[in-house]
Amino acid sequence: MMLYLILLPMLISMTLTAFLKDKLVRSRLIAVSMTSLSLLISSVFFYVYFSKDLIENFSWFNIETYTFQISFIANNLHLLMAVVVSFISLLILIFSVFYMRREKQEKYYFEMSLFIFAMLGLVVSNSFILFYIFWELMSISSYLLIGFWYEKEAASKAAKKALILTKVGDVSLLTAIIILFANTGTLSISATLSGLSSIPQVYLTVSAALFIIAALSKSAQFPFYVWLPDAMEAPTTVSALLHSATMVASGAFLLIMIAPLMYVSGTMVYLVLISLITIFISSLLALESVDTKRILAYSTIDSLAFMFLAVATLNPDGALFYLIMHAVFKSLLFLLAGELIILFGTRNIFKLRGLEIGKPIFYVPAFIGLASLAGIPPFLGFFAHATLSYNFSISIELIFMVATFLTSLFSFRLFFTVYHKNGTEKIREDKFAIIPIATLSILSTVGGASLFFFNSIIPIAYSFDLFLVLDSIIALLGLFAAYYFYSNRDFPYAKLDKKLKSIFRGVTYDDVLASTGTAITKFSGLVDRFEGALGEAFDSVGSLSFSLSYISRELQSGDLSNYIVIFIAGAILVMILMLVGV
Amino acid sequence: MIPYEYIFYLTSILFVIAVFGMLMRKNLINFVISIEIVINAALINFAAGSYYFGYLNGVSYALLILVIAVFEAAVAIALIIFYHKITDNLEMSALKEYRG
Repeated sequence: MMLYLILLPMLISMTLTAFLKDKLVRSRLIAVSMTSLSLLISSVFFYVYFSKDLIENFSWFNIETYTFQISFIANNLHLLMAVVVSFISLLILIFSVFYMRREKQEKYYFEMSLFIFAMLGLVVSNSFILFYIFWELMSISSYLLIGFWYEKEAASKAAKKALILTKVGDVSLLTAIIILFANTGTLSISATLSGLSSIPQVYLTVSAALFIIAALSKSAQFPFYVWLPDAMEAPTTVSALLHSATMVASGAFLLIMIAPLMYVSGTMVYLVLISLITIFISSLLALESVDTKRILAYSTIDSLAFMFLAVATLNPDGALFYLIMHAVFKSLLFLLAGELIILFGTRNIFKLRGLEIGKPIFYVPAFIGLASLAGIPPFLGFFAHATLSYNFSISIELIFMVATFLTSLFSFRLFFTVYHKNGTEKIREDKFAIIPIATLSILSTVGGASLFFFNSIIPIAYSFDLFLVLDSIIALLGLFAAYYFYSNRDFPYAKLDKKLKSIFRGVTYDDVLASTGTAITKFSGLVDRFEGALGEAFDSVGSLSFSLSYISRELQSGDLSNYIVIFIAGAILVMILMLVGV
Repeated sequence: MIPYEYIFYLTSILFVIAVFGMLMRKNLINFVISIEIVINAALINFAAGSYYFGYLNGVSYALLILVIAVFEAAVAIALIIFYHKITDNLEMSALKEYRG
């Protein structure tokens, strides 16, 4: 029972890499080996504590009679997440050796270690306060990593944007935790979830709504999604980690973890609404984007909306399965995008098209990853859809089919625009790039079968029914549509893109923000008069103290003998007071 | 043997003279001398107290004060010398413009 051991390797890695700034080879060796150690430890724990539900407490500090505890939990859900996080992180760190070789990277491995540390801490913590601390640590480290190339203005702006937008969620998470603590008197997550019946309904609803806001902002869902595409200014390895196993997954993980609270709160119908809005916005934006990484970012928003939809339809385990599968194929896609950036130096899909990337080593993994994303049968996404859609009602199923079509369309738009079978480009492979990509490709191809024994880890419901058949047919339709629109060089795909752009660029997020801003300005005009009166009151206080200061500043004349007179007079006064005996 | 009250009268008189000097003299050198007299008045008090009451504490305090007074005088005189070099002036009232 030493669950903190899961966190220890990353802590060591953080400390060492922080001091080994300029010793590049050593710090990447440390980061990679410590992450593998982390993977080893969490796998061993997963094996040893399989199907046990253990909680480990250490007392931390006392306030009056309440003892704050550092509390870790070991059950299938949390340890499985720890294994997934450390596995994906390990592959991405190996890829970093290839991706970051030409960059100055004093802080890179330190910040990555901090990021992984925060996520591992988040998945094994059983105390809301500890959870909140790791949640914030993740915010900070993602801020550092998004702004890694801080000399670029876009990067530093994107980092600020991410920090501020996720801060909304941080505050609402803290508020929710405080509300729950005030009602239950405990910060333990497991105790809170088992004692839900003692909390008044209104507090349940409010705290669940606040948790949802926190998850939405962290996972870049509808009102907050704008930070994620901008965060593409980060190094691609960071994006891969941020999109697959850590940052955005933590929002979905929060909702999966506190699912019992969600279901008694009566807020699920709103979550369904938000996820549907997010699915459509993100897939349409992905269709008009011309940047590989931005398309992948929108696809992440899309996939996370699928998870939220599953949570909202009382199927958190389906959401968890989708989260894990998504981590695998999305990190694969990002690593591929990173490889293209390094080798060809561009992210624009039309420029990449001009380069005619034709080697199977590029287009086979890309096809696997994008087919997984779209939900084409033998790959991961298909199995994930099978469990994701288990609880969907008929209307949601119909909407989901449209979403599948759009997802498939933008995925294969990316594929058919960038990759060509008859390419001529000669490219040198690097083993640090090949190993992670090959591993993830194989997993994306055969890993879907894990659905059949996933049931023994976490009870999960899935069905291969008519809906799923239709869904995969629709995904294939999306593939063919994308082939028709985007594959042929002579076909005026640019025209279609322009048309799409004119439709969806019409109302941009900035416009909505601006009109909201105008409304707020008008409202604040009313408040303005009251504020003016208040301002005058404050002004008069200010001018009063200003005129008083004219008198008091005379005391500081700078004349030494004046000071001595005052000093001695004061001393005599004190003596007299002592003699009188006051 | 001198009664110890007399010593205390002496030091009180010294103290009053020194304070009078501090207040009335405008020359910086005089000012430093006055401060020295104040400190020495206190020092004599300690030494006398130690002698009459038979404790060594007073003497040790007196030694401490002696050392501090030396340092203090050295610093003060150094400052005054530089002040004089810069402004060619030793009037205390001229320090006013520095708004200390």
